[in-house]
Amino acid sequence: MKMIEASHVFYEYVQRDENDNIEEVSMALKDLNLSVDKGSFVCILGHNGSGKSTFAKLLNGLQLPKEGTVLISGMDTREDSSLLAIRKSCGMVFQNPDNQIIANVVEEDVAFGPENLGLQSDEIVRRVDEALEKVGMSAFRMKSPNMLSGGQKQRVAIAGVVAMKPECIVLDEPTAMLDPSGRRDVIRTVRELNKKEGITIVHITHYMEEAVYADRIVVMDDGKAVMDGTPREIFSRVEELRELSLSVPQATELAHELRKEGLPLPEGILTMEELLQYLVPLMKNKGTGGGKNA
Amino acid sequence: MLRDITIGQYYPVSSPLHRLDPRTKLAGTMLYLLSLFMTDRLTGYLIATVFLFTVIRLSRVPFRFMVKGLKAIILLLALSVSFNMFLTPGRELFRLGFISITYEGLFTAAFMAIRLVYLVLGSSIMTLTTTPNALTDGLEKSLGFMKRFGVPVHEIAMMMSIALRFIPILVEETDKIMKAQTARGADFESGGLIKKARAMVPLLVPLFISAFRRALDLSMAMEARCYHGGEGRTKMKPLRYGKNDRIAYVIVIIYFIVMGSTNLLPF
Amino acid sequence: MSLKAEHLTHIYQKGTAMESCALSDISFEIEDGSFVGLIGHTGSGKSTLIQHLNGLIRPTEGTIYYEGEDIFSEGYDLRSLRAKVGLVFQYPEYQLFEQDVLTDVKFGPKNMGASEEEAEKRAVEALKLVGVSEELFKRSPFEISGGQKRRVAIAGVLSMEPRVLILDEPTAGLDPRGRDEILDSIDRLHRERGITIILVSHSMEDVARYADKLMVLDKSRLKFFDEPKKVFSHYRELERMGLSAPQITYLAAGLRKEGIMVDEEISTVGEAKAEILRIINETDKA
Repeated sequence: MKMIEASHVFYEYVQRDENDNIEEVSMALKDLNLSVDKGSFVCILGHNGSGKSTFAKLLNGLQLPKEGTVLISGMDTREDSSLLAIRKSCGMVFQNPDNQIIANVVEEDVAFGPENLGLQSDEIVRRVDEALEKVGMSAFRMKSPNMLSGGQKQRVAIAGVVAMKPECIVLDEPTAMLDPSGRRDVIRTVRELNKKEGITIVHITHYMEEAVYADRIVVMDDGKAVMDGTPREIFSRVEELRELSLSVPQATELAHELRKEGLPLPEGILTMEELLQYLVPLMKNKGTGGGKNA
Repeated sequence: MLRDITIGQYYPVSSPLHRLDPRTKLAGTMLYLLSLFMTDRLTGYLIATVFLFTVIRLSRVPFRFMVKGLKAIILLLALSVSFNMFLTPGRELFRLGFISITYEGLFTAAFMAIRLVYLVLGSSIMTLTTTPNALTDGLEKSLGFMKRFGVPVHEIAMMMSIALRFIPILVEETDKIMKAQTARGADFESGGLIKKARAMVPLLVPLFISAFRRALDLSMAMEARCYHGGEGRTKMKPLRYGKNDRIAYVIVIIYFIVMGSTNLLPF
Repeated sequence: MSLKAEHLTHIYQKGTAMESCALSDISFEIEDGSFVGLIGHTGSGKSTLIQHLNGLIRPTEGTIYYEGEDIFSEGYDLRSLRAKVGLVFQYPEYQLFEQDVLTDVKFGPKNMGASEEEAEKRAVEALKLVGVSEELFKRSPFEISGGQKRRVAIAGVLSMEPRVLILDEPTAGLDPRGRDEILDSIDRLHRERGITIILVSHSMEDVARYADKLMVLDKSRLKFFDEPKKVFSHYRELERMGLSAPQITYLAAGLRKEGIMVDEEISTVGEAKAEILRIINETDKA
């Protein structure tokens, strides 16, 4: 069974004026088909308005498709009776770290989900311990969320989801409001959850560098999935990405530019380390006398 | 200014008082506050003083930190002291022009001041030793019987705890928007009442919009984490009375009875 | 000449247990017409510093001079300073409040005493400078897209016709297209209008591309104030401050470690491309 199976999904936003007449209808999703395997790490890219946030909200029944079906572990999000089970198995982390922390103490916030599930107290305590440990926030257990940095708050939010023992976590631009070190910490945490715990990750982001670590990248545009493949496959299509007004990691961009100038480099280089490995043999024994600072 | 308010501020240390059930602390605080109004004898105030300072010691909250909470009531204190001092008729001690200070006035003023200070200190001990969430839990549970009369006790408690979490965030946001508008030449200080009120629009509109946006986000985040009202919800740390709570109740009740009976004493 | 700080120190809640030093003994001079990148880890004092520069907060010690005048001296007109030294806060769209876009942008000039026509003229110009199209002028600022809101908010400061424009992470939270559009309009303002820019950013790649001077704050102190290339050559030190150099700097360092002597001061994709091709072609010729 697939973790997520969205088929022929349509979603529209309807704007009404004061007299309740329809003023504007905008299609956020148009016949979207996308499925995600259990245990995989999928990154969704796309500029604002491409429909990625709408898609995220369909995944745990916060919004329901206008047409088509969304199945989470085989459960239909439109079934009222399975809504809680869906939300338990597919947790969500949102963009603004402040607006998703409910309690005034870290551990109480992490306990919020399990409390809603009606678990026994000792089980809740065990899960809170574990979840905080997994995101590396145990030391902040009794702290007020207001004392934490953005990255730490996001890790608390992730712990709050982890404590519900989900099979899948959907993260909707979790790093957009963070500084680089907060961003690094969140990405590290998410990758570990995927590798060590086998939790399926759907990560929506604007940062191309973060997409490099995924098993698979889906690029969305105008309510549809327009590109789908491994990071290497996706980032070797530099021109197409540019047309969708997305960027590529700098290493990919430089390799692409050099390739256009005739250097024998493969497409889809993802990191500077990789690029370095290809460049060194090409440049070795050259440039020993030329450099300004040599 | 808003940061100076100690009420609602939790002081994170471990003490026997911190570990008490919030319901015990709520009931204890109630009885203590009542007891201050039950006596007008010196002995009563002495007993209350001993009781209060023992509790403060037990709470392990530095006394200096507690006194800071008194800053907020200085004006009220000064007002009530001077009213009592100057306006109580009785045996005159001395006279400054038309102002006369009486023996009785001095006494009532002193008692009044002590009473006020003890009231604030007593209630801040509760908030300093109890996390806001525990406090709302305590309220929710103690007032649980009102659910039968259709009072949405759980929802009210949840709202209180969310409000407590967002107050500091909104205070910070107010400061930021105010600075941003000042950078665009806005003036919040000068002018008469109407001009000042109009100057608030560039502050209040963004603030309200932001509050609504946060509320929407938060409700979505709560839903995503399976929140569906108080029904079927459990607690990580359910309130359970322990041995210490029973001891505390006994002590407080004895104290309360003693305070009540001081009125039978001649002084 | 333009903007100068001398021994600037700021201590929050001085004299209490919560006393914390946000800026300590900072001195610099920002020349007219320069593009300065301000970088530093969160909590390094960047926000405190920029709020001093237009007089929103007073220093505990030290002075700030704008065009040679002490801005905190008695009788100095801080309000008109704020028109000359414009400050765009982080997430500036959160300050929009008017019925329509144009009226909101007029708020600044009108506060500065401009007439209705003058304010409108400036607002229209400012909106055009940041690329907000005319059909949006009468729309509510709450109905337009995130990137557009951001640009309207920046126009709200630009309409006061500042000589110095300070922007606190103007691209935070935007998608790649939004980021590029904002940075390009800022660059245009700098090149075409000669406006002095101070850009607070977390992206080393962005400051490497646009700034001609870099200011690095670390734990309330000014660590570097120099050309970007010079600053990035201290990348080990930047890392210790929780920062990094642009990725290209690391590539250059990696190549040099292998004995390939590329110019160690390259920091953008364009420079790297030119330098790598230069070395390969040069030796081919030889």
